[in-house]
Amino acid sequence: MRISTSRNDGATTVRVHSARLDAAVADELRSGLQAALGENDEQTVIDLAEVTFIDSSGLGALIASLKSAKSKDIAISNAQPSVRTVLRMTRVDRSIRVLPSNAP
Amino acid sequence: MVDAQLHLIISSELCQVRFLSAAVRAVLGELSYPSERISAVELCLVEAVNNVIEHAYREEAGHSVALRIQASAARVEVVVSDAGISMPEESLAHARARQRELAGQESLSLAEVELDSIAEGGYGLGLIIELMDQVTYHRDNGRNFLTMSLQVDLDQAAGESVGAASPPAPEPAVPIPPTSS
Repeated sequence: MRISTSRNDGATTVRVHSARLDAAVADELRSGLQAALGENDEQTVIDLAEVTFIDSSGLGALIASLKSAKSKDIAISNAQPSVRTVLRMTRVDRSIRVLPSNAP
Repeated sequence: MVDAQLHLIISSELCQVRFLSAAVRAVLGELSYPSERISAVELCLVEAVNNVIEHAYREEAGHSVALRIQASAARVEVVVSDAGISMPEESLAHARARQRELAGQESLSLAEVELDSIAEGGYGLGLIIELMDQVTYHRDNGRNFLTMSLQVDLDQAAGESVGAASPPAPEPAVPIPPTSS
């Protein structure tokens, strides 16, 4: 799984280049995100624009990597409807900021 | 519309689940199910099959996980079965209780629930319970069966969307003339 990081004006964007975040890739997602989020404590956005499917294992990997991140200012952006549904149904959106889909 | 009736079997490996997902998406798409219903069914079957592979078969490859799907314009029923270790009897009740507890957090605003306090796992059954209308689990003849069903009512939904006449506007209330005093 490819995870890319870009920095702009003191903010970091982490992009997950995978359509499917499921149990088969959960370990890879966790370690990839932990590596990307361990680099700095800046304001960070995790861009999920390419993700069309996430299951509870993918969600667990996401939560675990956010918990261990240096930055405490992390938001999720460009979450597609199916991803938003999972974040809402599990109430994880009460603990992680999910930006509106049209946000940059 | 002809109902879809399929039986699919995959090997008990997490990397195989996506193919089951793709097959079910295609079938429900063929029946013109709305995309949010397709996503709901896909997520529930993935969670159910992941549970079987991880818990019933303890991630041991070489076993089979069977899926039976019956889909009509009115409803869809998905049955996931396996010959592995049964889910503890209280699992569904626990998941229902947890969903009720989570529902209580609905009114909380962001950051009132600390990230460190939330679980990293155990959401699968809760999602199934939340997204499906009916969920049952039983063991029969050495096999476990998780049955999930969802009402779809495609015909009714189509009727509504082409615009059933909207109810007549209520009669305007007759103003009561001020009483002279």
